[in-house]
Amino acid sequence: MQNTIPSKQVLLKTFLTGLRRRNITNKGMTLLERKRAIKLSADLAMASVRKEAKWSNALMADLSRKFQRKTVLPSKHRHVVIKGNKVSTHKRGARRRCAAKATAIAKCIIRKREQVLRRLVPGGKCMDECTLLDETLDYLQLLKAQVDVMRLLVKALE
Amino acid sequence: MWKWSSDGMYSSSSANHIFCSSEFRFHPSVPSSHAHSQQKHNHKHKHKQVTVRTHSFLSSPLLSSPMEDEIQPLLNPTTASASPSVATSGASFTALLGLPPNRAVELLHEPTFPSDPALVDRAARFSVFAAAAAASSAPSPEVSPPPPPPETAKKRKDGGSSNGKAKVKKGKHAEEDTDGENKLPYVHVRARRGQATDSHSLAERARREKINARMKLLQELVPGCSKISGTALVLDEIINHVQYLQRQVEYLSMRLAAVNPRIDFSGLDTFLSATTMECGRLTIGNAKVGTELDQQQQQPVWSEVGVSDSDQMNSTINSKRPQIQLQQNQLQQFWHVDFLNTQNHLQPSVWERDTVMGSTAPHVQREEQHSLVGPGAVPLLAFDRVNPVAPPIQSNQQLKMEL
Repeated sequence: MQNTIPSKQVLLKTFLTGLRRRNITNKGMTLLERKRAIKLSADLAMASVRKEAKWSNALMADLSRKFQRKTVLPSKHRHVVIKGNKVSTHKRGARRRCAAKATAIAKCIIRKREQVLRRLVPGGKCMDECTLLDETLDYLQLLKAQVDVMRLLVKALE
Repeated sequence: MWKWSSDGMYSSSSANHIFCSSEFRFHPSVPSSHAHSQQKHNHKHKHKQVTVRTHSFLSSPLLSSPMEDEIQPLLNPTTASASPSVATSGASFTALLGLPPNRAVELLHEPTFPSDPALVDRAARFSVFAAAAAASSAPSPEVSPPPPPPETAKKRKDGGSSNGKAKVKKGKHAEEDTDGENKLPYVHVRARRGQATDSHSLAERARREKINARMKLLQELVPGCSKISGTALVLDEIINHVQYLQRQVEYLSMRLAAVNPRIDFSGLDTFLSATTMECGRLTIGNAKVGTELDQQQQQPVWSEVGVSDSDQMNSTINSKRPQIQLQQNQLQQFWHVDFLNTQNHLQPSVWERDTVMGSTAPHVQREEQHSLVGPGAVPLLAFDRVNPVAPPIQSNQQLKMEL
């Protein structure tokens, strides 16, 4: 409740500062390197706006680890696909044998979804359910703001 | 007075929702006057017993077994462990009745994490987490359902009796759970009618309600989720949305990277950051410029072009943009169009733009290296107060078009 809705100006400013630091306009960088640098700046800007968030700290730790290694690993987030449906149907079949209760099935599905969400939100592995939802809320807000900022920038530059 | 409505929700005359706590600690500061006030509300002997209990409870924090006997006929006799809670609940209920203003302090202390206050307020209207957001907005420690405290849930298991009075009574007893506490990070859960009231189920219920509240908040945040009912589907949508946003960030960063070689991004950065840093008036001190330049290898040259803007700008920012070959007149025309098209807050600076363009047109034409950011910076920087982000971006948009 104490966290304000992220100001896009602040985000933009941080974003651009980070971009400058990374010296993107150096001709030596390939497209992918530039993209990674941009994404890194974006993530850092996001995380820095909300310093007290758990996901923010997790994200920064993650990024600093990557950054120090001088390689940007492909984020695991990208590979997450919602397989919940498939898995849950299978589980549902199994569950049906043991307990025909709808609530049990629903709980199973929800648990699957929750696992996926944990993988998506940075630092989600170490949170309980309530915190996970909290962090998702916050993360969503910042992601939205970041996307808007980047869209503005792209629109300005094109 | 409060009334127990049929749907289980109760409202009290004094505004906010009060939620009784399933677990609580007896606050020694609860004055005995609460017990007296309780007496007024108690018409039946049973309530008097409650009062008695509160009295006794006030005297001794721990409920003795005689209380238990009183409670048993009233409530569903379940576990002995629940009995201490009843007494304390009685005390808290009297406190609740006696001090409506204190109700705010009894409210659920939520972890202050849901960041959007609007959303939190909406959540507060929804469920257990009432105006704690409004009342106590101090960041409180993470609320955790406390370990089953010794004085926990009251026995309230009643199955069937739908007697109104009995309902009211039971509701009252449910209310007795309310804590007179402030500042204790306890989860206050209302034990509704027909629900188990032992500590574990209460804690679970508290947890569930917390989660449901947050789910509602998330539903509001994610577009298109409000019509969906059911946690699984809502979670599905949330996951989809998060993935979508993350993919957007990737895609946009790729686009920015593709855009990049064509424009002097460093110059753009410094320009934009300078505009955001300067509130309204842009006077780029060399010191400041120097600090910004330090971080870059390609140092944009901050030179003070003598744009004699009569009013706002003493200097403009010119960054060396080798890639940008600008034709000043055309750009100015672009900016005319651009500024006219943009929002009304640009209007005040129209005159500025005119003066700037008039003054800089002959001057700037000579220098290829000068970006049109210079003259454009002046009106842009005027917008700094209003919207530093959009106008510079618009101008740069026009810049880009010139390339």
